[in-house]
Amino acid sequence: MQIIAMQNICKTFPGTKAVDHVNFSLGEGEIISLLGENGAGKTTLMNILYGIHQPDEGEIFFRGERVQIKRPTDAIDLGICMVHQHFMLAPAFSILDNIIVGYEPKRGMFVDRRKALKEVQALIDRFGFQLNPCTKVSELSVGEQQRVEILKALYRNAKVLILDEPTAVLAPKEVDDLLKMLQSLRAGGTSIVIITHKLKETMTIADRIVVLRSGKLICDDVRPANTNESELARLMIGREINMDTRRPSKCAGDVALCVRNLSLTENGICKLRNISFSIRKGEILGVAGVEGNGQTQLLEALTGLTQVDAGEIILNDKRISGDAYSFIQNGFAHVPEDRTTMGLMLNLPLTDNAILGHHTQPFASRKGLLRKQEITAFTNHCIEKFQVKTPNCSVLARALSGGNQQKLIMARALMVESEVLVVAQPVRGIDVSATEYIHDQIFNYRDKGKSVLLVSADLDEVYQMSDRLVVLYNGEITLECKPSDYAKEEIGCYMLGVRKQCPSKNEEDGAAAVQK
Amino acid sequence: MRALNKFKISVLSLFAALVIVAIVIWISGYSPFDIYARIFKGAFGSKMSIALIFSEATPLMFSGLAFAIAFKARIINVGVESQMIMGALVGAIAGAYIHGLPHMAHVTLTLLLAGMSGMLIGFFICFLKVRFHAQEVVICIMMNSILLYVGSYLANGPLKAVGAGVAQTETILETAKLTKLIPKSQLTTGFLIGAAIAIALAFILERTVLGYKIRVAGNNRIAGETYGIQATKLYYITFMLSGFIAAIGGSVLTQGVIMRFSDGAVSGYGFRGISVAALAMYNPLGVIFSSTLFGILNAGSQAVNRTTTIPYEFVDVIQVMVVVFISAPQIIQAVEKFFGDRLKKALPKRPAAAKPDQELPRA
Amino acid sequence: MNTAEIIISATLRMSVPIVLGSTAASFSTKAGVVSFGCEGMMATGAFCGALAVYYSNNLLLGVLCAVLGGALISLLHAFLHVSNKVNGTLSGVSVNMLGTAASALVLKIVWKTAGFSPEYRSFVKLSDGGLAKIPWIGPILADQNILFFVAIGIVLVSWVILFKTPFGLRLRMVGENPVAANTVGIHTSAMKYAGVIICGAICGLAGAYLSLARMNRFVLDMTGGRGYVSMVIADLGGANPLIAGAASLLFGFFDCLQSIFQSVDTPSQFWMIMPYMFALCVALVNNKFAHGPAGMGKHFDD
Repeated sequence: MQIIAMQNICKTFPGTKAVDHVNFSLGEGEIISLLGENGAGKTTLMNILYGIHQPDEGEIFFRGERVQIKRPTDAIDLGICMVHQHFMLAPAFSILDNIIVGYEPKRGMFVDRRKALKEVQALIDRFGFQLNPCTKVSELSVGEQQRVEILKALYRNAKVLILDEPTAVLAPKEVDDLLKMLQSLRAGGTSIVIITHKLKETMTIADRIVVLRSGKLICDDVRPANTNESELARLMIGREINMDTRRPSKCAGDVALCVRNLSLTENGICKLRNISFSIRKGEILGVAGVEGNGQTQLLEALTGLTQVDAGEIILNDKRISGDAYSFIQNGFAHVPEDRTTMGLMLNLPLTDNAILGHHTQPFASRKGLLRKQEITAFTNHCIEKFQVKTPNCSVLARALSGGNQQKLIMARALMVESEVLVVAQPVRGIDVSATEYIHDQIFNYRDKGKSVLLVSADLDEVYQMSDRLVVLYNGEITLECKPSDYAKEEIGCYMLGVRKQCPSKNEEDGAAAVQK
Repeated sequence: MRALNKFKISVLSLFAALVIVAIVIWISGYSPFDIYARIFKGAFGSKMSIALIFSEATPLMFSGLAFAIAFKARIINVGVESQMIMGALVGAIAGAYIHGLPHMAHVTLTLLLAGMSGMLIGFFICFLKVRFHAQEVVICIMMNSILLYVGSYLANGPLKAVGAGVAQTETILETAKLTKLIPKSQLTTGFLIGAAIAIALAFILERTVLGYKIRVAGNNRIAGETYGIQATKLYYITFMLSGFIAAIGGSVLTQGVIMRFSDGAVSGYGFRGISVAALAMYNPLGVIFSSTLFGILNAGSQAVNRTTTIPYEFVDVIQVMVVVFISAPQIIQAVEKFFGDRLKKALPKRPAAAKPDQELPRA
Repeated sequence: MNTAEIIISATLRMSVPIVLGSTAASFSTKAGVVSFGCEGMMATGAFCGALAVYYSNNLLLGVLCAVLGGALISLLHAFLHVSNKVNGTLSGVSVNMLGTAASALVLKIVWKTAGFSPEYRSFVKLSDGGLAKIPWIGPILADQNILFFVAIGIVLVSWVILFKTPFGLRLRMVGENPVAANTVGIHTSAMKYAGVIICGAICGLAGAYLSLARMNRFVLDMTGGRGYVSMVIADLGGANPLIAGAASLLFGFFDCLQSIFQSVDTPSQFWMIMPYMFALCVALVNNKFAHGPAGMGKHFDD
């Protein structure tokens, strides 16, 4: 018996066709894993089901009846609930208030908190969560916040539960707990959709696997029993992960950047522990890891945005310190992880965006005066060289598509002489052709004998791009290796903290790499 | 293209404000055409009235510029008023008590001292904002009230002119007075100083690294800081620059029109500056024109007020409505679309409508 | 009445508009909208109340018109900020300027005077009731007018609405995290509108207190920055009407000092600055122990 059927769903966002004629169905008491790469349209499809987006075309049926889901309220009334990737909680509220808001039990005109407390406590007990409903959400860990989100859905009597990347932020133990809980929910008759790009969990828990690729439905009836991870990967990506696209370094030279014993504690939480690594000239060092394991802090330390508690950063025998400006002046180029908040001024023209960070360079300004013509020439040069699609260089950065925005940021970083490129999530949310182009540019830059530090949450990307990689887990380097020496699954174990390279070997490896 | 679009929105906003106020005038029993005609005649009727346009525009230009430059860094300086009061006060003191300087030197020194006092206020507000993370808007508003009373106290007490019946300071010396551009009018070189500052600001914003940094910090503080542009430092610079300009405006008022500091004479310009800046779309060069436009309205309404009992307060309402329309261009665009669609529908009909015209000669 | 009673009574009188104003600002703040327009809403309320009483000689109608007037002009704030995403401060400034400019214009049209209206009937003290016989607080209460008690009622009811009803919970959710509120099916824009309109209505009442109870005529700029002070006080009280109401008493005390000491030998301006100095200091220390809602000024579709 199908509880949900979505037929011929289309949704276009400015510039991209996010969902393209997709049929999707969900049975009673079924767990579906909705697989796909970043930007494949998984979340958009589910947002349509949940009433956050309206489809341009297509129909939705609930238990055979056609329904209009115009707002999340409509979905909630049908018993469809969603746990978002970014938790939808008010940190200043108690757990109880967060759960009941919008669905409050009433006594007369007032919220019946006593009744709510009883019901929420009952739910908590049923699933054996260790939560006190009166605690403020701001005091909870990420895993606990996710439980609150799930409680929120259960409190609304969810018949269909949609989870968007539920395991991205969880520790392995928490992942196991979550999967167990989902199985017990299924036993109770709840239908579940898990949006994910993780194959392992998919294989463990899904009854059926649906794969989306760039907005299109690739297949919707794969059973874990009849498939394997590499086949799923092929379906998701559209090709076998092809190791031929790797371009190993041919000319790795002397050590350019050397980072020694970086440590950083923020708000009493240790974010970086004794991080040491080095990058040679003509080498790409990849940093792999589940997001939130210190990557942001490492990036901030290497670009002068954060002052570390201990440790030093040495570029070509020169110790670098100070603020972001002095790092740029000393040969660091930076491509930040979030292009719209950290990389661009969306309401300024491309010319202004192109010289960000170079505004004191002689080509951009002289004696405090901007050199308009040279700036325009530079911007046009960036646009041509990096194939940024734009009518001219005076349009606002806002007018560019995500891929072109990223190309502009890459151009800005690579068009001037620098020694080290620090690049984070260079292709997040970008289409395939732009991705390949940007990767090519990073390779070209390296082949000029420069050093690259690549941080990405996408293990495939790190695996494919790096000449050498380190794994960050909980602020520590748990593995340093060449991608060819380890299988991806093994690296995954290090990312999740299941395994850890012993420190002595780590140092040996590092030293060996330096000596080579 | 963008500049043109902004200009169009400015003009349409002003037009919409005039229409709305015309309706208000009509409802209250006057003829809007009559009043607007009188304003126009009053403003352009004589050489003196034209001088009045520009002298009315002068303080508005300064407060408009002060607000506009701060807004470029996304600082909402509603404390322009306090900085103008401070400037007017310091201008009056420096103008009255510094003796023995030649005219040019005295005028310049007075303006500079006033400007620096405004800078000080700007610095102080910014310091409180940065140091205590307080909302600058709240500090500004409180500073406005506090300086209003400080000025009132000084004009009533220690600095009160000998023998004066009302609360005012000594008249400034002849050497501190700004040169009149048109004799017997209130139009002084102050207008030119304001225009020069506007041009300088436009240059700074578009052509210098400092201006670039201000725009970056105003547009995306985090992006700026990622690439080494410290927003805090720019907040200080911009706030002080804004205070400097506002205070010079206050001093120009003292040295050109009032010739002394008197209780409450400088009030009201701060908030009107917001209208001026908004109409100019926060472009310094545009402020020259938008302030002149409001100068026309003010000068004209004063003429109307002299001859009739018509309320000239509606000029203030026009200025507020301009801010409303400018800040929500969606309204203007919606109206434009509405009429645009009607126009398009009407246009194809024209050939049909032309037929009777052709037949007319026969009849 | 003895001196202490006079001071307490005056403090309470001076506090009423701020108590109301800060309660109003609490609604707006809790909904995540900057309450910068309170000044203009109060001014409009004061004027509308004055106009209604002048023509009808009916105080109840006056209060009603004040409330309506405040709510009406607050719609502009909501329209600009919520519907058109104009910066909250800027749209607040527009409301304040419009409040002053429109009252001045209509004042001129209706009464042909600049700056003040003729005198009219106003609320009187409750001194002739049995109130004065209550021990201790009786004389002080009898020195107040009916709006004082209405204000207390409104503070209590506002607290109940904000913290005990589904509406209040949803309103606060919108203020804390509009995106999250949207995902649980709360209509965030409608809630923000509601918060702002309630804010306008209560500000209108505060204006009515100024023009119909504190004085018996409308004077231009009679709000004298009380709207801004209300905003600061509401922030101080964490947008909780009970705490903000209590904090307002402090402001009222400074305001009362001002009127008492005006006649004394010190310069009057010194005392007039006091309330603003107090508010400024509050704004400076405030961030230490009170935080506005996390979603201040944010929209659900940002």
